Amino acid sequence: MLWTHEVLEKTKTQIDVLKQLFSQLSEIVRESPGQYYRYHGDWRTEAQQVVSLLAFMHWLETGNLLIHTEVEEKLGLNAAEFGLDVEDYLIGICFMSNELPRYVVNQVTAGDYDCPRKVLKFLTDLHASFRLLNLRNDFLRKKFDGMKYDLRKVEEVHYDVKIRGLASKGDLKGDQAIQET
Amino acid sequence: MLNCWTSSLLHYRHHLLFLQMAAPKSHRIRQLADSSMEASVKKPRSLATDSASATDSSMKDSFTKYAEYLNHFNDKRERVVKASRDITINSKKVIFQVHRIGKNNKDEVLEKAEKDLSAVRDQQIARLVNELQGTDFWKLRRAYSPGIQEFVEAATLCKFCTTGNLLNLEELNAMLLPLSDPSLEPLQINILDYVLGLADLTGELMRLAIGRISDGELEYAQKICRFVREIYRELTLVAPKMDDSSDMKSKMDVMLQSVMKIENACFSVHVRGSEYIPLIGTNDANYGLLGVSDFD
Repeated sequence: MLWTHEVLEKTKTQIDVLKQLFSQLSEIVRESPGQYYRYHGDWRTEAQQVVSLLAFMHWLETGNLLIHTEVEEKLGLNAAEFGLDVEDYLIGICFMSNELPRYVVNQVTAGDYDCPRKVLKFLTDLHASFRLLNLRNDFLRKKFDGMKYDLRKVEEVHYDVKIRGLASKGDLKGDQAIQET
Repeated sequence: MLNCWTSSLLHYRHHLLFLQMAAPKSHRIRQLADSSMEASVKKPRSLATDSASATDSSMKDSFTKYAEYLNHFNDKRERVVKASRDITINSKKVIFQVHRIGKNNKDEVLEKAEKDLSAVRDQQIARLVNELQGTDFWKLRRAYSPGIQEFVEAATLCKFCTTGNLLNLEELNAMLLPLSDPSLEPLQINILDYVLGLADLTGELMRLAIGRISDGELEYAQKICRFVREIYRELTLVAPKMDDSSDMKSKMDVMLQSVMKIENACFSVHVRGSEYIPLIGTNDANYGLLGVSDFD
């Protein structure tokens, strides 16, 4: 985990680039006021990827979920004229969830045995929160349905680590925290 | 298709229920197993629980907000879709009314069509305007676009039959202006829906032209033919410039088919019909000989 900090610092330099690009984009969209959603399809996939990246970084740093308004803040977006669509945000969060099983597998391989517990807790909460939403039969619904496979994969890794007694002794308390939420 | 969806939804709900029922049980079992260790780790555990529930509830709070937003928006979308479907149904009725046109009842039929069209505007479109409340015109476009296109089709067809001219977007939007609350941004048909509606218009004009030929109104059919050909020609230049041209591309193909159908029909009567000129317009005309029975 020592190098996580360094990696994050390096990644952060890219955020300014993204910020710059988003301001260019909003400049262009401002040329046709009120037509944000006319051209929405042209950038939404990219915006979702950006949300995924930012949320992943934020989680690595703080262990919390990056909320919608925080994404807008980080990208320097002005919600009144060029905001982030809530559905795009939620889809981006699902993309982040897709990254977590891979992250857990590689962290365990690198010797961080406490990682699966933390990720499992986070993903369980996230999945529970997504269940609050009434979704239509659209792409977001599909991504949400896929999230349970991420959860299962992380559960499996957690189980593998636990059953072999690899997790540190202080781990027990964390486990109980998961149970009680 | 619908059945398949609902059954998969049911299945999904069942699956979730199963998960939710299963979860507390397994917790209980694990709690029992861990209870012997509880005493030794009591203090740190309660700390961990506190911080855990704090992050959990803040996450839930923000998701409650998203849920509210999505519920509100999806409800609005559903209402807009319903309004759009009513517009489609009633615009179709106007179009059928126009097709009831005959040689001797033009004014009467068109008068009724115009009256019905105004009714669609004052009732169905007014409802759409009311549901949209001056917002989300572009975001919900997909929800109301089919209805608006059908309305464009009905309005332009009426206009062509009464005046022989093309109803343009400005005139059409001027018709809709009185529906909106002056304090809100008015619903205005966008250029994409207008053009897509025009593309559909050619199909209706094709039917009209074939009908007119069967009735012996050759000149009227030729007028339609020139009009449709012009629309097709102009739209060929417009289509590549549209935002989402995939829809338009298929409509262009259909449009070309319509144009050719009218042209071929006009050709058939022109060539073969000349032998039967006395028959055209009389009651004992033998339409089968005109060679247009294939086109309808």
